[in-house]
Amino acid sequence: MFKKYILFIIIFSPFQYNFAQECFEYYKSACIPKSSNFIYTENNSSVSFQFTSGELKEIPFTLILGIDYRITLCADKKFEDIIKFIIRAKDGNEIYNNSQQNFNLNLEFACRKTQDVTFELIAPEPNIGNNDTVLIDGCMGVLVEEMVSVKTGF
Amino acid sequence: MKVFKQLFTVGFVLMSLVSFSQANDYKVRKCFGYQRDSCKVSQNIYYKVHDASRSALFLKGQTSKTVLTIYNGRDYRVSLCWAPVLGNRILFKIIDNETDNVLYDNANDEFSYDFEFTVAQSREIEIQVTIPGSSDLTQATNEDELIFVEKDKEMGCVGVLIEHMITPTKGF
Repeated sequence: MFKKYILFIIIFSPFQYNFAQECFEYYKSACIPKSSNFIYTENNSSVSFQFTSGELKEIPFTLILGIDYRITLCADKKFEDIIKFIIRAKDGNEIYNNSQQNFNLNLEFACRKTQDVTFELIAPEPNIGNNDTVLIDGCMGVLVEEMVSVKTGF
Repeated sequence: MKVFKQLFTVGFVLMSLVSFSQANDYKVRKCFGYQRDSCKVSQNIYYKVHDASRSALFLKGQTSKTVLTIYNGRDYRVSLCWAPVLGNRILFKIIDNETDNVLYDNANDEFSYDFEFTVAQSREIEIQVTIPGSSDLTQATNEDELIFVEKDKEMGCVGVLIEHMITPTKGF
């Protein structure tokens, strides 16, 4: 009974509500891409959400041939910039994994074919102590930008 | 008052033209007019800028060429300029378009950024420009891969300024 009561409080607490509000369009204020000589425009798939330790968030996306993309990830300081980011092809193959790149949170890339992919974001596992487990809660933003690939050479 | 209005209009048009001509970055027209704004013209006043002068955005490691018809009895000067991001030297060759003979290679001329010559026989030539270094985009082979390119670090404008004049007569 007590557990149910706690669960009820967690779900409907004003704190929870505030967090959701806090994360609304978080990416707009927190994800600041590096200044560039090239103009990217924001893609509608850019999102913000509340993120918790160990959580996996999947965002479906379609990469289009002839478009260059720039993705900027930004997370609450509590996550210490350790967010795993994977781009997975439809067949399940990993086509990018930032854990091999020191958890890089800014990437700029072109693609050679149109394909459906999934952006996977994984928050770090919770800290498990002797007596308790410390969960981290915070906002996460994904800014997706695009531009038409530029022609190079004469 | 009327004179003031006219002056204001002329000033506004001139300012617009100036800002347009300076728009040679990647944001507006992607290197448009870069050779005009950035390449040093010859101090020889008889040289005129050739219409075939051009500029383009280049990637590190990229090679590209442009064709030029040169005529007997004319002198030409080809000079290059480029964005600092591409490094402190770039390679250029002048190649006979028919025979593929390399007529000039700046690698044998201390990587000079300009070259002047007199034409004894009309022909078509290629001006081939190569940017040292490498980029994933120039090396990518697999269709499935994403190609990671940091544009601001790997791309820059290159201008090829071509000037020409009638070969001056020598002696009396």
